[in-house]
Amino acid sequence: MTDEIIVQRVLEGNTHIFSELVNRYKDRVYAMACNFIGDYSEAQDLSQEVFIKVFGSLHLFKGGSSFSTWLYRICYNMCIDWIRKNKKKWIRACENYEDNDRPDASADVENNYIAACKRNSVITGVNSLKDKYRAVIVLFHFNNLSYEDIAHILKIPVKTVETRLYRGRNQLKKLLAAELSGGGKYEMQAGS
Amino acid sequence: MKCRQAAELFNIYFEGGLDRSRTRELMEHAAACQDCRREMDMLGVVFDGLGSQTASRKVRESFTKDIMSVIEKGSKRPVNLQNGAQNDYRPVYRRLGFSLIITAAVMLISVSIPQTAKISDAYASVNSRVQNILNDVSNQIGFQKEE
Repeated sequence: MTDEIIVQRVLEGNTHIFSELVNRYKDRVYAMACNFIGDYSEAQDLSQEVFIKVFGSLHLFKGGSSFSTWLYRICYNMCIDWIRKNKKKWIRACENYEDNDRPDASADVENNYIAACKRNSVITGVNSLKDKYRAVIVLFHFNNLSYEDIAHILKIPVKTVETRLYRGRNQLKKLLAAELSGGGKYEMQAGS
Repeated sequence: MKCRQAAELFNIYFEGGLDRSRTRELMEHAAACQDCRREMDMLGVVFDGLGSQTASRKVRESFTKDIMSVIEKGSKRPVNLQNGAQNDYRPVYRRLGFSLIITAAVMLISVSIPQTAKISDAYASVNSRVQNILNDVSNQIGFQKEE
């Protein structure tokens, strides 16, 4: 059964069938919330609020885009609202990511450890990007959405999505280059 | 191939959107140009870091059940297309919108006009009484003078 048919059935009064849509998209919505707000527990609650809002707004779904794009747009807007209202929590979540997710320094393979540190640096860099670059980076790389879907969600042209992706990645390259040129940090941690 | 073109193509290459002949051309350029090779390597690290971040955590087990329980309690219901506004659970001000504002304004004006008239009548009444008192006083003074 397609998403649009399920929406139609829900609007006709079969409320219980909405759980099918929830089960289809709960992990992706949760992933998007995690990737934006960084706090796993808050992301769970926010994800539930997304679906409750979606249910209350189903009558507004006109079918101009796919249901998934419409859902992601609502999720994205709610994530941005959450960050605006909870700036301090969001900053703390970004800082905690850097501290808690750094791999164990006693890893057997030094190269794997350094590679993992580089990955952590990339993610820390993502959190420091401007909102417009972070949004496209998160939606493309973390949520595996297409240029067209991202354009629909953010209400920008496809070409703008492409431009922002390239600029966002360039900024990450520069951040990474600056961190790696400080160099010794990884070697010291690997050796400890 | 120029370096500026290569820089753009590196993005498409890592996204997996470059065909074989263009990929070969790009790799040949990267092999010959140290700066572009470094740019490609750095971009590769960025893609590697970004690609590893799909959340592996899952939602809690009661996730869907919690949502459905809120929905079934009826706190939020969608509009039923067949019944139109009958099942519209939006707040009153959202449903009535502009018409409510106009109605309130008309009511306010209609209430204030009679009140204004009443105030005018009261003023006129008080004014005439004051005039009468003043006339009485001036008559008495005039009577005394004549005496």
